[in-house]
Amino acid sequence: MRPWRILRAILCWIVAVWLLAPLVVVVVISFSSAPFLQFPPPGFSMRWYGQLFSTPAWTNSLLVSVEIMIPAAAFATVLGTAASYALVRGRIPGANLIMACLMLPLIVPGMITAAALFGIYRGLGLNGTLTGLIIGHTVLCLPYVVATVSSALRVQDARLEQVASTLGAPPWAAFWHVTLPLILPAVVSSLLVAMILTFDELIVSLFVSSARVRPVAVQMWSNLLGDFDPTISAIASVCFLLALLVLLADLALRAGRSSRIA
Amino acid sequence: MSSANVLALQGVSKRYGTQVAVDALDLDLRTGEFLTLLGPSGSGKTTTLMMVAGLQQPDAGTIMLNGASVADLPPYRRDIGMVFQHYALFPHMTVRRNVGFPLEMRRLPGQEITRLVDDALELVRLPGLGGRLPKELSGGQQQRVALARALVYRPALLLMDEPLGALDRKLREQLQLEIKRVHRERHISVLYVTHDQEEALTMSDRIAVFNHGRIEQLGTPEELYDQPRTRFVASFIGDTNLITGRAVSATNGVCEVETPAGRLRATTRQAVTVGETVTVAVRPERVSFASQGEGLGGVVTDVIFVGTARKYVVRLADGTECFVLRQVGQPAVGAIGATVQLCWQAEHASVFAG
Repeated sequence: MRPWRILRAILCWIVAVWLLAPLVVVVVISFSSAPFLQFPPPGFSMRWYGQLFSTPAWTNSLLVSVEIMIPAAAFATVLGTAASYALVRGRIPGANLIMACLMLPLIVPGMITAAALFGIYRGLGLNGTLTGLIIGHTVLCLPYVVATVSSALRVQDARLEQVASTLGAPPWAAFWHVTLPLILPAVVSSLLVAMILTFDELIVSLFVSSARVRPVAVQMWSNLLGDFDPTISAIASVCFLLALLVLLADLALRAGRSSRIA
Repeated sequence: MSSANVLALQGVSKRYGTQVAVDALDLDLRTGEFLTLLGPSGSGKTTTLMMVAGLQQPDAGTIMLNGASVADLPPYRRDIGMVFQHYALFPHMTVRRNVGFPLEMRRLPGQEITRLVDDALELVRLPGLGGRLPKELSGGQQQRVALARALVYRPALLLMDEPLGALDRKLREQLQLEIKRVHRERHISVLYVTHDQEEALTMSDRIAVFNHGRIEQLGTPEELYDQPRTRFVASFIGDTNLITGRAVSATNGVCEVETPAGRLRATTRQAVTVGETVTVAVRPERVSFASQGEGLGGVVTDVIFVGTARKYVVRLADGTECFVLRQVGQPAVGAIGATVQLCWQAEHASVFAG
């Protein structure tokens, strides 16, 4: 019993270190005083953060990413929730097929989706536009929302909507007052996941972005291809911090909810 | 159609695939009446209730609520309240908000909602629990909340689908009386579904016995118990002795039946052909022990003491076991192994073809 517990603890720590070490290295280097990537860093400085926030290419791309993230995550959440509700609760012929189509971006290699979007956008003049990027990212986030929300809907008792109906609630009111509050944790969760996904997304962004409309992931990519300095680790640390905040928000929401119900 | 009927079903049918769930059903529910649909599972009673609620659509026939057809009305526009077997309270709302929900949907002012919710919680004897969440309540309390929620807006008709089915016996009996009291105090019309015949007898003004999507008999509990019109009704409600024999004569509604154990007489409740095989149904408490030479002969095989009465098991000549109930206090009759004669008045027995 005891040796096993020790072994388990050791294994857990190895995995944790394995996963976290690269992140730690990146964050540490972002505070380095050396002009190139060097570990351990010779001294502490904030110069790379100064560099990051004074270079228009970086600040613009951060702004573009936020401009994509907010509408894309919101659209994906609203559309995905609506689609899940219709597919799980409605009696729609071919619901399974539609569900499978919505899940496709998860299965099809990102490159294919990106190339397909690029091809479609060429005809529509959407390449290199914010609108194009927002639509593309919405499509990529949809499967995550649909998977999360539809499983929450399947767990929730459909009879509650019938009850609401007999009590005088039209379908919209039954959804708003009964169904939505019960699946809200799943909806918020998928919103947060969608936010992280779009901020991080590279392949579709590479295809449909332009020099003027360039999300931060593409900016990082092109920076890495040229001669790069520790600014890249500063931006990576910023992205990491954002994702961490979102995850903590999700955890806090869940904890708040479970303590309220308990 | 008089306005005294809150609900009228005419020729209502519902099929699932090739299976007929409800078959050309006619049913009237009088205002203020407690009407129970009683039957085994799959007999169409719940389907009927669902069609009245608007949660299922009939394939044929009309459903009139308050004298007007509700064919085009979705559930939320019908003037009904419904209580389900599994309470179905909204888990994220407090008791108060659950009960207030139908009033909120009807856009009543907040003060009015507060007053009516207090009133309804008082009615189901749950004042003081308004701030709790449903899962903090016991099953019986949850069902009271569900009842309050279905009553608070005073619907024309209250539908109840096996509302006590998930509760244990003691609680069930207690809530039966509570529901009856609420029915009396509020003068509401109730359409109640159950498969429990005792519950139906306890609570109902009238009972419709369902079998295979049809009503076998509609009547007061006393009528169903004392004058069953079909063999199904006789055996479904209460304890019954069923004795098989051959009809030898049928005059003035009384049929004489020849059995291996002797001749007996019973009231004809449905057409019987002389010479054919018939079944006679008689309640154990209607059977008495006769003096030698008359009635059916048999042997006492067991005597069971059931508190208020003794139950005699008598084996007739053809092997049929016949129960006889005798109140405690009446002189004991025969012990196990004794030969006895059984008889009853013709009006207390019913004869059915087959």
